[in-house]
Amino acid sequence: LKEGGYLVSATQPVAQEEAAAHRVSGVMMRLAPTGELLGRIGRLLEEGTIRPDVATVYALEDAAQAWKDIARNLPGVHGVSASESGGARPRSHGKIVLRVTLREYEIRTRAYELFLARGAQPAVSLRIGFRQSASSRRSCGERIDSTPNIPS
Amino acid sequence: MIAVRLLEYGGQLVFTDVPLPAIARDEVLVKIRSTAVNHLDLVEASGSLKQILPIDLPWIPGHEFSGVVEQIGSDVAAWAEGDAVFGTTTGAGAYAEYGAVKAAPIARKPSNHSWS
Repeated sequence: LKEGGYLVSATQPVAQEEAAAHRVSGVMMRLAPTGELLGRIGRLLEEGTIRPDVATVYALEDAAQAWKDIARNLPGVHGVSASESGGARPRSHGKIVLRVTLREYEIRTRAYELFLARGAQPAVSLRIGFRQSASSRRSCGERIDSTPNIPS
Repeated sequence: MIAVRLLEYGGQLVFTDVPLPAIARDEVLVKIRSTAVNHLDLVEASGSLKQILPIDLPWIPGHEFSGVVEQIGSDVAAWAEGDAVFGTTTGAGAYAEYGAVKAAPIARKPSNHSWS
């Protein structure tokens, strides 16, 4: 930033002493969008004038991992560890999206409800489950898939 | 509903079941399809700026969302159940299956774009 420049921070307040030492001005910005403004952005998206820039999509349940990955680009935030390897490829721009994917969660929950609805004793059912052949496992899967309107 | 919560400053995010939020008269309940991570989420969660950016713990992060209007408050005229929308929360609550959000900072989702 050149002398006399403006620093606009979206994530934290600007230390005024440090800004003064570098002969720059600094303010923190927070968004206060209105429906009207968002509507204009929506129309720009619709007509292709602007495009979304999505870096990575995570499932909502992987939010903790998403935070760890993003923390690598955010040094100095306390309490966020970025030590684990793997995860998202580093990118210098683009949004980290969290998709609310309920499918696996719903299937697990629904399977458990069916399991309880059959009045099965956990230990007995598990033993039967282990002895069942591949064909009976498939029929078990069909029961779950054919359940109408899993409540959302 | 399912949601991601922070229980304490500097803590881990927890994927958990929580009660459905109740909507105020000027709010709508949105079934959220996508939300997004902001650097500000991490700063707020770390507690390093809690003097100026305090959060109510346990806290569900999430400033923005796309989703479908599921229920409207009694003062809301602009939206109806089933509308596909995007918008911002008042600073929290979008890392969840449902969000109770103010009806004002919401717009119709562009039909030629995905939920993400």
